[in-house]
Amino acid sequence: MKLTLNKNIKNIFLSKNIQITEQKEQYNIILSPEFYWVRVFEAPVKSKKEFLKLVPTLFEDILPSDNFEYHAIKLEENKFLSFAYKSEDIVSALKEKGLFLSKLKNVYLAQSELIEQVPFKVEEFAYISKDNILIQIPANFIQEELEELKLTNIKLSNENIKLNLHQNIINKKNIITISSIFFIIALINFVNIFQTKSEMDNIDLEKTTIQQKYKLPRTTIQLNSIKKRLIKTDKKQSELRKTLNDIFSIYKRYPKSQIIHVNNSKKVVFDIKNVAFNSVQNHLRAYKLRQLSNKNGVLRIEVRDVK
Amino acid sequence: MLNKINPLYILLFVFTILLISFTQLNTIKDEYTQKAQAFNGFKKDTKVYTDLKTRWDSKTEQKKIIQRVISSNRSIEVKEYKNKTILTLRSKNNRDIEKFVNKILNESLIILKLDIKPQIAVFELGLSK
Repeated sequence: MKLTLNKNIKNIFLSKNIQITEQKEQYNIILSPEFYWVRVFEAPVKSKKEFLKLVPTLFEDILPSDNFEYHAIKLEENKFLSFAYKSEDIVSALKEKGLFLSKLKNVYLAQSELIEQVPFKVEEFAYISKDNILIQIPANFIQEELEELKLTNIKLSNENIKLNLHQNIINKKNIITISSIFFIIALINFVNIFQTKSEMDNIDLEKTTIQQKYKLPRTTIQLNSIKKRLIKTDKKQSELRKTLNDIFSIYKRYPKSQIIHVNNSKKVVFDIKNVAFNSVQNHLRAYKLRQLSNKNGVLRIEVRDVK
Repeated sequence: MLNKINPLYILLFVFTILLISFTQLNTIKDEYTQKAQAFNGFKKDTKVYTDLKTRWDSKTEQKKIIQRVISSNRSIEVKEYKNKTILTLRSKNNRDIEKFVNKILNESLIILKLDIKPQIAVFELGLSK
């Protein structure tokens, strides 16, 4: 058994009936047998880890049905010294004695730390060994004079137990399960975030490729500006062709007529000369041409603004 | 050390991480949707732009078309300027004039001016800069 010497940390023996002075420094607790059940079990397992999985079943017939935690010390092959304890009881006792949980360093068992010191007494109780198990009995049961327990120079082992310091509405196992589920969902979300960012980078890359391939203007504003100009040209040229197609029949019908397209940046304007207005008026109406005017023998056709 | 931390705090911490992950995911999804929509718009714009550019804004392309028009009738007179070309067809046969006009109308040429009168048709065609 590996022994360690804990410097500057006070060791306190915790018993239900003991008076403890206020403790402001860090401290270790050595639990009296009142706080745990102890038994030697034999089991066909090699490691302590494997054995701890079996312990609840082995204690099942001995302990009342309640939430216990377990600890074990391997004595020899297939033989383990087993402990069952309730953190809730230990925490309550610590609080009752006015000990701050935040200052608590480690919790040990009298069985593993003090077995070599028996017999000894602490206030009204005596601690003796029976079949190598440390037990507590009233001090007046012992005839001989026993020495008081001294913890000042004690060397503590590594066999400390873990306390569940927090008694929550949801038990620790459920909290771990829920936390794990939350964590997995969060992890999936972060993977999604990463993938989405990657897809966004791909869009940027694809956009750059398209810009280079089609030699597009560098900015969207430039692209839109040129596109707007080209759309305007397209609309105007289309309108011009459509209108000219309609009025070209006049030229075919009246060989002396003249069709002039007047360059105008906003409108498509045609002048028709050498044709009597009245003779072509119905013809033009049939083509639903807009804004007709007749001035000085020139028939002017203006098609709506081309934006 | 971990034994001294209340598991509820761990739960709270993981829950906070979860909330942050959902918020971040929603934000990035919104950004992605906007970016994807903008990209689709960009692709459509690009298609429109390239089509129109080829049609109306390619000097090389327009010169090719003009050459094609000229080669269709040897009587077409050509006057070339920096940014425009003037095509004139004189013919006593109105059918020739009609064919010439239709030919021009069916091509992607920018018509700046036109003057069609008996036996003569003049087109002023703009060239891209």
